[in-house]
Amino acid sequence: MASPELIWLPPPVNWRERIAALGDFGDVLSLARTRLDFVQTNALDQIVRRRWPERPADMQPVRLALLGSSTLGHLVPALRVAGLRAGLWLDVYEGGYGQMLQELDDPRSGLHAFRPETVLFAPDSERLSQVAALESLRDELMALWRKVRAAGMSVLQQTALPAPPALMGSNEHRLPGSRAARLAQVNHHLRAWADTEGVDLVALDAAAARDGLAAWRDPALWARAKQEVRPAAAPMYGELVVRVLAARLGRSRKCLVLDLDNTLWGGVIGDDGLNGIVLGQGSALGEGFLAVQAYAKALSQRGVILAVSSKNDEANAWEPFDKHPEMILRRSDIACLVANWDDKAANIRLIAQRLNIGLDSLVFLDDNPFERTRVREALPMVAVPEVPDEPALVPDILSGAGYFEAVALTDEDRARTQQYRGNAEREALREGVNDLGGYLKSLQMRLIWGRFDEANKPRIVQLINKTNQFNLTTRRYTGADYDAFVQDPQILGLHMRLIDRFGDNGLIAVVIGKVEGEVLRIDSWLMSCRVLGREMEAATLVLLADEARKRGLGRLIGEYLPTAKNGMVRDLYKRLGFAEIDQTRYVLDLAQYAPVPPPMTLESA
Amino acid sequence: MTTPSARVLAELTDLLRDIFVSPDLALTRETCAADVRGWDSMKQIEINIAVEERYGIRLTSREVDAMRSVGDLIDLIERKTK
Repeated sequence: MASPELIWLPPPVNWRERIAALGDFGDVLSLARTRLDFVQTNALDQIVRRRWPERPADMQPVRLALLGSSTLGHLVPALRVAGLRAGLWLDVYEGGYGQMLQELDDPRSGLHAFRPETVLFAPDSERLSQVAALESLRDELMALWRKVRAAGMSVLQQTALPAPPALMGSNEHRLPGSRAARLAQVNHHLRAWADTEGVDLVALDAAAARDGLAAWRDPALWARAKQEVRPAAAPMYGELVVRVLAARLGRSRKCLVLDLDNTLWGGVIGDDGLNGIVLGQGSALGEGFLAVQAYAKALSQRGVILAVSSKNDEANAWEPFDKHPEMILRRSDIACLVANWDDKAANIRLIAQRLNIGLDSLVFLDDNPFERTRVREALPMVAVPEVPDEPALVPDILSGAGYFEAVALTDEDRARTQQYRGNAEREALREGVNDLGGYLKSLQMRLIWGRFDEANKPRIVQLINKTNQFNLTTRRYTGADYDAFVQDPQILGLHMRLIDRFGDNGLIAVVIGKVEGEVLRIDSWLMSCRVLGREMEAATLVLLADEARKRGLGRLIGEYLPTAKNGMVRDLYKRLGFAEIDQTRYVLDLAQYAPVPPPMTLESA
Repeated sequence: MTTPSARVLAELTDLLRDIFVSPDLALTRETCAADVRGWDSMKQIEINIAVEERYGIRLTSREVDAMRSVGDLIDLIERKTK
């Protein structure tokens, strides 16, 4: 019974020595980033809880409640360890066995006392298959979800493991009342129900399809201890849950950095030449490399940025992208290519800088174990998956790792490589232009703004919930909050796009103002970091001041609520000419405000 | 020379030290659940699975229920890996 393994992580070499010699929290994190089995996962969790009772400062806190109808306690340590891997410090509450409704309804329950941010419903497949009709299950689940959300918490729902044995066989769906057929239906309909209600799923059924049901569920353990998920599958269970939590918090990886020789094609382009490298051409190996490229291409089409780090001359590195007939990836798919003979860790830093994204947004794919080890040691925040000797298996490794987990797809996601490619080109142009003002003018920027509307809702809500750095107050709002803002005449919700001669940067900034007397209080102001240094801040203020004056308001009040991540906007209001009221509030008298025109046009959408 | 039994006992000791996060845990054939702090039914399941994965065997419900001591587990492993 092979257990699901975290195969993208390197094995925990010298596990016993390392666990015995844990020094600082960095040692814990580096051990968490290895291929721990369930015993090692539980041991690490136990030691962390003993030695680090308080959350280390750079870990983001998350409060998660597990509500189910079977034994769940054995999954909790693995949830916490998966959290460590994702930079999250999980506090987990395990609800009373089969007490979902009671816990929710009783304001004095342990659940409400715990005050979770997220509730994970983890019903077992017995429970899900026993309902009389799909409609009654739908009503029951939706009622639970709505109760959770009414209490200000968000919902995760796990899908059913396709557990019970078939009675007919391949055509099981023809048997009325078949539990196997019922679970297939439940899993099918859960998707639609969850989408209607804005609930995110944890797809255990997809994991079981990949790993085999026997790896996830053992009927003997169900009989012995009512464990729906085998303890040995707990590390993967933790991963699946934490990935969704992390994706919602904007912590998924954003960019795949690819090596070239023996990663995207067989052989060495500098030695073997364009006609010598192995790619496609009907060879098994060449087809395997095509599979790697096809997967990377598909990732980029759904919003993952592609970059290249290669030990090559730049001209050689580009040649296959431009000229090889079998290449799936083309020059236009690559947002940033760094090819030279320098240290790869240094080049990866350069890529992050050129694309203006954090190192913790990167995944580095390289067939060479030396380079992988070097990057893991120099840049532990960069994810570096193991790479099998068989290129055809690389897509399974990358998808199994879940680096790019996402819960929603917006038009911005699809256009992202183009946008970041523009970023890298702009950065290259800036390196050649000394005069910043002249450079910004040369970009021919247009700020297109509009009020909150239905069409832009998914992107705006996404930005509100995942922007951490350029975010003055880090207030998170749900889709329902958004709808309320749209209806409320005292709320001024603005969104902004930025277009320049390299392309459309997409919807990149959001401001929520609240009219209070003669004041417009800036409740939220956030912006994607990919447009930093473009004087968007000044332009946004011009826009806000205009809108406030149109409503006859006299002053703007801005707030800055510090977090671990938003230090970059600490002085924003001061820089923009606001006067400090107290440590968190700043005021701008509109009568005195005479802005320097920003280097862009402002256009209403 | 190490007998097969002694080898399995040493391997089980390592395994249980990991499971109980107790680097000094000492086992004999006579050790039973009551002798080890935290060895409850849930831990027993973890031990069973760890043994199954380590030795590539499957312990049945009957075998698990009949197990009384570390010695029983060693015998079981030796019988099933023959």
